[in-house]
Amino acid sequence: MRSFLPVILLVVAACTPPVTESTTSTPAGDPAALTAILEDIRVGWETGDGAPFREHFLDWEGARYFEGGGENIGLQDLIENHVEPEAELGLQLQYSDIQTHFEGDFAWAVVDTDIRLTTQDGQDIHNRGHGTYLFRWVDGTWKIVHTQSASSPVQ
Amino acid sequence: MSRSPRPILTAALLLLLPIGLQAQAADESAQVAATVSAFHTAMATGDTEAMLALLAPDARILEGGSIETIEDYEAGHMSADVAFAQAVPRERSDLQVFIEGNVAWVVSTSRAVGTYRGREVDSRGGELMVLAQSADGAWKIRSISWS
Repeated sequence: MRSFLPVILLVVAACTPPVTESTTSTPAGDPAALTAILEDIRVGWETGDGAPFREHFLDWEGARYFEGGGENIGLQDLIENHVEPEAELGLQLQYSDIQTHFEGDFAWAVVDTDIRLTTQDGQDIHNRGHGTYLFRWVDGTWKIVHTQSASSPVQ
Repeated sequence: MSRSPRPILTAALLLLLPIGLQAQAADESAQVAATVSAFHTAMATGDTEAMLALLAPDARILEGGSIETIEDYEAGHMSADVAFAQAVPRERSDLQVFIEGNVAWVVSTSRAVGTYRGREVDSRGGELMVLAQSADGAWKIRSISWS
């Protein structure tokens, strides 16, 4: 019976999620890595360029991205029906006060947002709000698995 | 010469362990969902103590145009959120639970229809909660994002 023990421990070890303590001393826990990704995404929003989204998002089955009361289902929907149309409205997007949190192979960032654009009927919009980005460490890099944002008009 | 039972036992253990782990994962998902549902219930019933007890000390609450600490939230939006939740019934989609080690995130959408302070309300929203498991095994809410 003694010989079963290593087998059991191996199987348990292989199937148990990794211990998820803070990894701030490793590259995976480097806030600058998330900040750089967010900057790529911010520029992608302004320019209507889907490339940074395809690079940094984990385009997984079931992905949903929330903004306001709406949502996009999957990355293609997000790019074609949200990113590209808003860029055509002259979107100016700023992120500030980026706060990052790391838990092993998972991380999230919350940001303050400042949004300006002009609607097709000529109405100037200036909103402030927040965004939350969730990341998973995949194959040596952080990938965005979910986003949520909301804003309201500047008074 | 008798046949050794080891291969059979080993195979049985290998088969049973993943099932056990699957059950554990389902149990953890249920615990996460129960934590989120408990927060929703506490808000709808005006039990602010229960709401606060479900939040981690470093929790951030994001709604509208602000990011708030627990202290900010308790002193600011919480009473209005509770009043709104008590006045306007909210129909919520199923919670989608994702577990990443000792972190979980939960998304749902909802629609609130009713009257609040004499004004007709019909609003749709999305909710994201990030939770982490504390040393005692309890799941605590680290972040709430409402849109």
